[in-house]
Amino acid sequence: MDTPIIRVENVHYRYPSGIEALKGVSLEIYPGEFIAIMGENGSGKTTLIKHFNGVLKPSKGHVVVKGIDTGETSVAELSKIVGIVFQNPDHQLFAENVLEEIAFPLKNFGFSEDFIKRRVEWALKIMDLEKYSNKSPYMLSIGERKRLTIAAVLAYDPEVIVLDEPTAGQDYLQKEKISEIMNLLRLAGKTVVVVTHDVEFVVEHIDRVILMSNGHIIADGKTPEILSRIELIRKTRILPPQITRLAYLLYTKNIISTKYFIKTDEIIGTLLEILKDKKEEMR
Amino acid sequence: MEILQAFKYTRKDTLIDRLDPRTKFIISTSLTLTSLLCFSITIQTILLLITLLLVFVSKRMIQWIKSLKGLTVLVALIFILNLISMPGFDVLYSSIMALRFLVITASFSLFFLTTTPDDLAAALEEIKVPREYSLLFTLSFRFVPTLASDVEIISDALKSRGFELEKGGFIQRIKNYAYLLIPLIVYEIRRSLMIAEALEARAFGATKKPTRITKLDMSIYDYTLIIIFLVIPLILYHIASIYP
Repeated sequence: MDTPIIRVENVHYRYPSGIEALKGVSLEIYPGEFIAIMGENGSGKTTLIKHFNGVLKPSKGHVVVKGIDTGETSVAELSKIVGIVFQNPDHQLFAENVLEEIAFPLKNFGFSEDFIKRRVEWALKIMDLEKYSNKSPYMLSIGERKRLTIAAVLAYDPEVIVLDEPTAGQDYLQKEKISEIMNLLRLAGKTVVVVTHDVEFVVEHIDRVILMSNGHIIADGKTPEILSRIELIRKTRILPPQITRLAYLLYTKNIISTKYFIKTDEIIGTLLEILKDKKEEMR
Repeated sequence: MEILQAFKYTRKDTLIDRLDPRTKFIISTSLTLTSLLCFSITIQTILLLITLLLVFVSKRMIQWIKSLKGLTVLVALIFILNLISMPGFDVLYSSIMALRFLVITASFSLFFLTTTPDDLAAALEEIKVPREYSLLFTLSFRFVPTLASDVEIISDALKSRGFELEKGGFIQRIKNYAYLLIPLIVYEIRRSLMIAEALEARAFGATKKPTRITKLDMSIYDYTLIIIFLVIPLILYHIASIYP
């Protein structure tokens, strides 16, 4: 197996206020993986992702990114590898116009002017923000601002991209755009970590789900495996996908023989077969 | 942000906490006024000791000492500025000014550390401050921790984009903070507009005199302390005028 790009070793984190947000978290993230971190509010998800680029340093344990211990490197250095898009765009935007906003990290990393120009243009195009390039970030709508924060991270091309609640408060069209970005990132071979409550989004894009509760990881596995365990995910106050709930219902009524469904087309196939059999019987 | 720690209320049950907010306000004002009126290093030291004694009784010494970390910069700045701007390199004068600053901040941090925002609002309304203004007061306190956490989130976001806030010389660092202040100000203005709307939506201002849940009443301790802290400034002021 490959060497992990991020390795979290028994990390504990206590906020200065005394709240212990992480209580011994261990986890390995491999290149090219698409991971979702899910769990109820206050379970430690955001605290955990803030460890990936060293914004938070563990109180106990280690976080190693590409062989570098986050305790020994600056956040700026690690941010080149791990790009985090925070939840609220209003906490991140400050530049005079959209162009400057995207160029900001590139300038911090000391890239050449020419390179910066090309990258900014690319990011604007990919996020469908070209027409706003000279506008103030604060004039954009919430969905556009969200996309701008994503563009600002994609522009400097980090290997790992961490998105905190990318679909929260977004309408269908915005969600579709974020979906497109996910597909694009997969093609580019990036590693993606998403913090989310949106199960439908997870079903569509994510390979591996990590469930957190009360500062611990309580489950870690392939998406269908985790999401079809209704009791488990209810514990983390996530609503299972509608398909899983339907499958569960049909299973308890003895209509289908397994309850592990997360995708619509899978259950459609099974149901069609059952209907066909019934039709045969009726003849 | 350490300075803010000196003004953040934490729930504890001590003699000072049980006092009426008006009493505490009189104590803090009395200490501050005496400090402003008396120009003597001895008096300033005595005032600081009295204040710290009260902080000690209220069991908030650790919090106060923590806030010193942020305050020392300001104290040093006051000392140095006075030293270089006053004629004759007057160390005594500068020390008095620095001590005075400490007394004033400590006495008011005592007040804010031990008074719940609700009590504060009740006290303000008791002295006939209109509700619009008392609410302004309580709301601003309610937002100190929120503001502190916003500062943290914004600086995390900046750092995550390769920006080093603590890099560079003094001037550069001040410039760096502009990057932090712009999103902070915009965000807080948006937030306050939202809160104003929410308040109105919940019928704020429908009656001139809304029902109060907390009722204030003075005990024997309150009266005793008020008398003590009305007498202390007189005595100290008298001493200061005899032995300048």
